[in-house]
Amino acid sequence: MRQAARSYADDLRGRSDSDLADLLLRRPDLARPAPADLTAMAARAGTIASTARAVDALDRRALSILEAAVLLRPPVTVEGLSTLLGNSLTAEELDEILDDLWTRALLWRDDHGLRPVTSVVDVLGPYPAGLGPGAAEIGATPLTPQDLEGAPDEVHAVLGALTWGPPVAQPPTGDAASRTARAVQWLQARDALGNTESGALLVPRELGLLLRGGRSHRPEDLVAPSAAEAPIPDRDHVNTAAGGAAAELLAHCDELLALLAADPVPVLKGGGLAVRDLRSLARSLDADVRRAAFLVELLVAAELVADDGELEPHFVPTSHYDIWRSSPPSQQWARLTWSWWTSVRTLHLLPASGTGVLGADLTWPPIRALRQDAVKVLQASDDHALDASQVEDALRFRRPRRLPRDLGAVLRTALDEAALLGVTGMGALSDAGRVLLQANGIDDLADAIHPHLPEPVEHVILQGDLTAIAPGPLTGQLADIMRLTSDVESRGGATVYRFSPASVARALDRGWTADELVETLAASSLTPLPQALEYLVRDEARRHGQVRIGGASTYIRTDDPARVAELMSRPELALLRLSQISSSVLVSPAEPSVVHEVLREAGIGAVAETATGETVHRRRGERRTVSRPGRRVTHTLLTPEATEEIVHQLRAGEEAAASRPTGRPALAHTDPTTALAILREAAADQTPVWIGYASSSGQIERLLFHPENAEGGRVTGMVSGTRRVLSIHRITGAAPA
Amino acid sequence: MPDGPLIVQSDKTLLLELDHPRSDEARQAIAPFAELERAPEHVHTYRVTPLGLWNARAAGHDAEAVVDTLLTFSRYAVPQSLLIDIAETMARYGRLTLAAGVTGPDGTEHPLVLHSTDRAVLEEVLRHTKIKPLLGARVDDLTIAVHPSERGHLKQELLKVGWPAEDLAGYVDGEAHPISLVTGGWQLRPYQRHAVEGFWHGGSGVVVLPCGAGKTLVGAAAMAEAQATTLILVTNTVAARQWRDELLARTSLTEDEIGEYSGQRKEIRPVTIATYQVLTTKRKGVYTHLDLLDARDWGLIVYDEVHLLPAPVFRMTADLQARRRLGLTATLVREDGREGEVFSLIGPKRFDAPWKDIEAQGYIAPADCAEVRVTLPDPERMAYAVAEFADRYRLASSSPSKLPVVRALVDRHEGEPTLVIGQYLDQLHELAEDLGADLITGETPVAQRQKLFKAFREGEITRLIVSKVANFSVDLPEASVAIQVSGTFGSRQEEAQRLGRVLRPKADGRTAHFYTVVARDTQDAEYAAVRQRFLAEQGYAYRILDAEDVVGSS
Repeated sequence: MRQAARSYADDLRGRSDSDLADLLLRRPDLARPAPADLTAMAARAGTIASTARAVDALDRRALSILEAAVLLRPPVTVEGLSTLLGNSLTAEELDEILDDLWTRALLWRDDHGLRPVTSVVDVLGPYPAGLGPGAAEIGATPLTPQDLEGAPDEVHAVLGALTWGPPVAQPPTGDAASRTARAVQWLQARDALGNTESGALLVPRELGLLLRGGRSHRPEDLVAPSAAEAPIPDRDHVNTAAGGAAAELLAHCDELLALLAADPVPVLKGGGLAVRDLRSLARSLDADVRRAAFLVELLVAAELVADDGELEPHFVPTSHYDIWRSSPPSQQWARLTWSWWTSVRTLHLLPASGTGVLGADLTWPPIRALRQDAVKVLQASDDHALDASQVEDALRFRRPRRLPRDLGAVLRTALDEAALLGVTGMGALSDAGRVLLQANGIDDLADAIHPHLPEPVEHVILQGDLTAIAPGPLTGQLADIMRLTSDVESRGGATVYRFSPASVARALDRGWTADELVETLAASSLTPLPQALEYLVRDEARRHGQVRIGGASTYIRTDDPARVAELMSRPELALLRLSQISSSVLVSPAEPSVVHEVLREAGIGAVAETATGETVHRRRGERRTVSRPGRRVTHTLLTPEATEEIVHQLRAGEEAAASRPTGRPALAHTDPTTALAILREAAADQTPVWIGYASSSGQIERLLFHPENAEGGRVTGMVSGTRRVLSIHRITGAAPA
Repeated sequence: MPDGPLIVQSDKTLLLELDHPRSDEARQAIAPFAELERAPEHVHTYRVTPLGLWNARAAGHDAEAVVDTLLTFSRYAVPQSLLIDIAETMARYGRLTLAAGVTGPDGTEHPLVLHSTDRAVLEEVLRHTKIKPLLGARVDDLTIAVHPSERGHLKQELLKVGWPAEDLAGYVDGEAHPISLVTGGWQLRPYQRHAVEGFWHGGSGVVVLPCGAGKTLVGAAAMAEAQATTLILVTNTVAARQWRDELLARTSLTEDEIGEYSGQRKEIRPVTIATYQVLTTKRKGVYTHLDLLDARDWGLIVYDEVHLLPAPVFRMTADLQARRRLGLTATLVREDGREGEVFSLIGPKRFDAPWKDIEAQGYIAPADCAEVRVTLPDPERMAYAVAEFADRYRLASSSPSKLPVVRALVDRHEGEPTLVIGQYLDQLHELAEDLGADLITGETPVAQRQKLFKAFREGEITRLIVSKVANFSVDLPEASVAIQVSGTFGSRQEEAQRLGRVLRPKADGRTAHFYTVVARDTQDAEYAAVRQRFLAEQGYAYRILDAEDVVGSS
C-alpha cells in the first residue's frame, strides 16, 4: 500500500521509479526539457497546457471515466463510478482504467482516495460529459421522475434535444405560443432550469442524469467499436493484392521519373506544379489526376524529385534517382513507403481541379499522426478488412479530442494511399504493413514487400496485332527495350505494349538496326516473331533514313562534274571544308560571302543565288544605318506664375530642411512593442516623438509626430499640423523628441 | 500464388492467355460480362464496360458471380478498385424499373410507371433536366408515372446518366398471325436455337452472329415464336428481296403475306420488309413514311444489320418500345460509337458467338486472309507524292499496278467462285474488261443484278466484279474467294461484311480465301491496317504477301 499523500506533488514524489518512468512515457512533454526535480515536474504536470495534452491522448473510454470521476464528489471510488456509468464496466476494468489515469497523473491519491487533479477540471470545461452544474448551485429544483412522466410532449421534445449535452440552450424568442416556448414555460414554472450569466437556459445535473436514465455516459462510449462484423480476407489474397499494388506503384514511379528526367516540369512562382502540367503527366501515365498528384508528391517526399533551384526552376529527378534505378524493387518500395509514413503532406486538401500539388497548402502536420493511427487501427483489427468509415469510428473512439473536422476525407485519402503502396491489401493490413508499423527507419523495411512482389518476367509475348504482352513486371534491359520500341497501352498485372511506326522509328533513331531489333524481339519473345511485326520493323527501317538532313551554311552547285572534282581537289579551297553530297552539289560550313571570296581568289567565277535560285549580283558593300535622332529637349518659358511656383517650392523645401534633424544619426529601429510603449507615453505626456514611418512607396520618412491615441494597431496624431492615422506595424522606430 | 489464365489490368481490360490449360474455362466464365476486344494468336483482350456489365445483369448474372470469376481465374491480385467498381456499376442496373399498369392511390390509372427501390436514385434522376420533362405525376414515394410514348426516350436518357432502367413493362402481343418454320431437310443449328431462346426470354435485344452464320433464320424463328405480324427493317432493296426469298423457302408464309415497302413498292402486308432508306426519306423536312410504323399493330420488329441502323431510325424506334424488337448483327462495333443507343432502344445483347467458335463447329468456312502488297512503280509514286491529300487514297487504291496482281490471284483460283470487290467504278470497269467478267454496280438494274447473282450461284459464271453494293446482305452461297481492291477508307465493319461474303460453309469444306490488295507505303496500306483490326481482333490473322511472289508464282 502506497503511503497516502497530502498534495499532488506529494503523490508524485511518493511514486516508484517505474511509475515515474511510465508517467514520462505517457506524457513526454514532462520529460522534455528534463525538470529539475519532482516539485518542478508536478508544477508542470499541473499546468493546463500539459494536462490538456494528457487528456487529449485518452481514448473515449478513459475520457468518459475521467469525466465521470470529475462529476463524482471525491474520493473517486469504483463503486461510485460503476453506479454513474450504469454498471457497463466490471470493477476490474474500472480499476485498470483508474490505475492508468493515476499513472498519467490525471488523478492523484490523498488520504481519502483518488481525486482528479484540479487542472483536469479546468480542461474538461464547465460541463463535463455534457452535464450542467448541480441544481442547488444554479438555484433550480430537481424534477422528479413523476414530474417528468406527466410532462407534455413538447417538454420531452425539448429535453430530448438537450439530453446528451451541451446542457445550455438559448431561450426561445418570438412567438410565445410555439411548442418550444410552451415547453420552456412549463419547465420554468416548475423552476426546473437554471440560467447562465448570459441568460441562456441551463439544465441542472440532476435533470440531465434523470434524462439519461441515471447514467453519465452512453454504453457505446465505454466499449471500443468492434470490427468483428468486417470480413476477414484471405491472407494470401491480401498479400498478393498488396504486392500487386506495390509493383504497379513502382512501375508508375519509374515511368514518372523517366518522364521528368526527359522533360522536367516548371515550378510555379508560388511553388508547386501547374494544373496543366499535372494533367499532362497524368495523361502520360494513363492515370487520373489524383493518382498523378499522389505519385508526384511521393517522389518529392522521397527526395527522388526536387526543385532544381535554377533561374527558371523545374522539378527534376535528384541524384538519388541514379541509385534508386539500380536498387532492387523492395528497396525502392521501402524508400517510398517510409517517406509516405513520415510525410506531413496530405492530398485530402487537394481540390478536384488538382491545383496546388507540391504547393505549400498541402503541408498539414497533423496528418502524420492521423495516418499512422489509421494504420494502427487496421493492425488492431486482427486481419479484418475495414473500410474508411469503420476506421473513422475506431479513431473517434481512440482519440476523441484530437479529430479534424473532415476526418472522413482525411482517412479515405490516407487509406487509399496505403492501398496504393501495398501497406494494405483488400482493406486489411498486409504483412509488409505490419513490418512498417514496427519499423524505426527505412532499413527495417528493406525486405518487407519482397516476398509479395509479383515474380519478374524475362520475356514478352509478341502477337500478330502488333502488340506485345509482358505477363508480369519486366526487369532490366528488356524493360528499357520495350519502353524504347513500343508504347504502353495498358497496365496492371501485365503490361501491354503496342508497336507502331512511330515507336519503331524511335528505336531506329537511337541507332538500332532492323536486324538487331528483329533479333532482340525474337529472342525476348516466348512465341515466334509475327510476320506483321517483322514487316513493320523492316518497312520502317527501309523508310528510315531515306531522307537525310545535315547542317551547312553554303551550297555550291554546278552542272559540270569535272568542276566538282576540281573544287574538291584544289588545296587552297581546303579551308572551306567542302564536302560532296551529290555529283553536282558541294556544301561548306562557311558563310556564302566567305566562300564566294575564296572561290574568286582561287580564280573560279561563282555567282551567288537566293534560295529560290535567282542570281544575286554582288555589289561593293555600301553601308547604311538607321537614323537615330537624339532626344529633343523642350523648354518652357518662364512665366510669372511658374516663377512664383518655383519660389513656393523653394520655401517649402527650406522649411522641410529646417524641421529635419540635422547631424543626428538615423532613427534606430525599435521593435513594435517598444515603439508602441514610447508612443503611449508620449500621448500621455502630450509630447512629440520622432518616428520613422514606412510610406506606401516603401521609403522611410522621418516624422515629428504628436501622438494622441494608440489603439487597435493604429496611432492617431498630428504631423506638421495635419491629423494622420498611422499603422503601428509601419513604424520602424520611435524616439522621444 | 494463384496461377490463372487471366490477368486483370487496371484499365479494366482482361488479358486471357490462350496457352493456359484453363483458358477455355475462363473464356466461358468471362464471356457474359466482358466484350472481346482483340483476339490475336496468344493473348486475347476483353474489356469490362458498364454496358457489358449491364448486359450481364440483364442476362441474370450478379456482381458476386462476376467478382468471383475474376478472383478465380486471375493470375495476379485483382485491383480492389476494379472489384468495387464492378459491384457498383452492376448495382446500378435494376434500381430503376419500368413497369406497367399501376393504379395510383387516388384511383387514377397509370399505364406505365418508373419505379425505384431507392428513393435517392429516383430523386437524382428527377433532377436531370433532360429526364424531368419525360416523367409525369408522382404516384408514390418510389413510383412516378411515365407517358408510354416516352418509354424509349426515357430509357435512353437514363442510360446516359448511368442508371439504366430494367424494362419490365412487357410487350403488346400485336396482331396475331400464324407463322411457322417449314423444316423439311434442315433444322435450326444449335446456336441459332440458343439465340432465339435468349432473345425470346429476354423480350427484346440483339443477337450477334458472324456473317454467313444464318441470321435470317434466327429472324424467321423469332417470327415463328411471336406468331404475330412482323415489320422487318433491312439496309437495302437487295437485302429485302433476299429476306423475302428466305422467308418463302423456310417458313409457312406465302407470297401474299409478305410485302415489300421500298422506294419502288409500297405494300403493307402481315409481314412487311422495309428499307432503312425509305424510312429515312424526308420530304420538306418531314419523314413521309413514318406511318408505316403504325400501319399495323406489329407484334415484332426485326432490325437487320443493327450496326448500320441510321440515327433517325433510332429516334423512331424510341416510340416503339412496347413492341418486341430483335436486332441482328455481325458486330456491335459501330463506327459512330452509338452502342449505348442500341442497348437502350433495341435491347441488351442476348446472344453472342465468337466467329472462331462457329468456324470450329463447321458452320462457317475457315478463311485464309492475306494482304498483298504492291510496290507502286516510280511514276505512280511520283504522282502519289504530289497529289492533293484528298485524292491520295483514291490514287493509291485504284493504282493500275494492282491489275496484274488481281489477275494472278483470279488465275490461281481458276474455277472457284470469285468476287472482286472495289470502291471506285473506273477501276472496276477496267478490271471487268481485263478479266472479262460481269460488273455489278449501284446502277445495275435489280433484274439484271438478280440474273447475274443467279448465274453466279448456279456456277454458270465464276467471276463477278462488284462495287460496294455487295457490302450488304448479298447472298452468294458459293463464293469462296474474295479479292478486295479498294474500300470505303478505314471502315472496319465493311471489311467484316466483305469477309462474310466468303464465310458460308462450302460443300466440300474448302477454305475460303480473302485477299486485300494494297499499295505499299501509301494511305491505302494505312487504311488497310485500320480495316483489318476488327478481324485481327476476331482471330483472323492476316498474312502479308509481296505482289512479286503472287505474280511470280502463277
